[in-house]
Amino acid sequence: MPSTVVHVAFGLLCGAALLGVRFDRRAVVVIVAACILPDLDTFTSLVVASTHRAMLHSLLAPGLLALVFWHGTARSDWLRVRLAPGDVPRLWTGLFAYVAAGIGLDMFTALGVNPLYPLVDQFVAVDGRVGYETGRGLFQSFVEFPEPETCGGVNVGQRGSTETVHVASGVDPSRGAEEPGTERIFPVVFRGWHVTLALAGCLATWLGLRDTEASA
Amino acid sequence: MVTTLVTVATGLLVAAAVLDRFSLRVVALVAVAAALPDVDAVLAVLHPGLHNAALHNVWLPFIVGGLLTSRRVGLRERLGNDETRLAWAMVLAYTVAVAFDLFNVESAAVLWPLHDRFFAVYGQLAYSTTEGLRFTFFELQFGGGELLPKAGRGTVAGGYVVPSPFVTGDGRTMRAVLVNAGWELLVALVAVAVVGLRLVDQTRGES
Repeated sequence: MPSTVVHVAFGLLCGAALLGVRFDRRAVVVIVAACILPDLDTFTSLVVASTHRAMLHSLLAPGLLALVFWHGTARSDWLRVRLAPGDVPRLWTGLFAYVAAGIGLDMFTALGVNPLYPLVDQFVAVDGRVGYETGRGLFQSFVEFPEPETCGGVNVGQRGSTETVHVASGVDPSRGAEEPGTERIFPVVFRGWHVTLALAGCLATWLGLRDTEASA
Repeated sequence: MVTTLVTVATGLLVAAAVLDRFSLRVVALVAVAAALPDVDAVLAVLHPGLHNAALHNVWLPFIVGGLLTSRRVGLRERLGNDETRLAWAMVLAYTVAVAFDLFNVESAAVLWPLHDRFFAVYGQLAYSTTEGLRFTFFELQFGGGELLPKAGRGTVAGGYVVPSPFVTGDGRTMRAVLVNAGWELLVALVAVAVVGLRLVDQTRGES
């Protein structure tokens, strides 16, 4: 649910934390691109109905990329020879940011993503609480098991398929063509934690780059 | 409400980003700094208003930051470069933990005890094609009255209480929440993965 701005900030926080002294401007470019990439499926949603949060938020997309990176850098070297020195960790960090920040933040908030699209067309939102309360004991609501007498399945936050679910975006607010003059909203931040994550991401990027450039 | 698990996880990510050397000792110290603000939930047993007030402030990072930079105190020379950086990382982790409660409906009295007022800064920043730019975080009000009427909550002295695990509404139930929402679980999982990878990387580099 967070905006692309929050995805990028959290991706940069993860990237700076993973790369440490190797975090430089080139890594920033890779990570920012990796975090914007999944949200480009707002445009595929105009062509194939309701594929925002499905087409590029599918875990198959980074899975395929991982396969290509692995083949091009470890199995053979057709990709490695085309890259600058130090690009291999940057690419893997970008892929981590794609999964953790680009897809993860959407998957772990209310509207969810379609993680196995197009193999399995099902939106899933991993959301819930874990804690302890007197009288109730330990509780969690991420996975809900059905009552034995009913024949319902386990609930892990299934939201429905692209037939029934349309995740709105500024590019494609609703299924099908929009009336002229339809309100299109492009959010930046709309929750307190979006602000904190965005600030933490900026801080980590600034300090990380400063250190790397000072030691270079 | 953002749980301590999340403040620790985010603090560790920020620390990993600013520190070149990472070890279990660093992880432990940063985790303590990030969890420190929430210790005032225990102090709330003394006075319920102290939760999100006693240790949620901007003064502590200012004072520690001042001590770290001051030449007269000379902490930098005494601690050495690596330890000074670690101290800064702890200050950042603490600040991020306070920010989570300030930028939240839950509110924190970040200027207490100099200025006694709980603040909750939240809202929306968005662009709408019909309404234009939308910004609802601050509604500054100059010329008398409160400066931030929307963000201001009660005061510690006035008996305003942020519910905590030990001081709940009816005074009998105790509720401790580890994860409040999906994204909190994600941040925790990511922090575990990143810290793990950094530690493995570090030991591999040293051997």
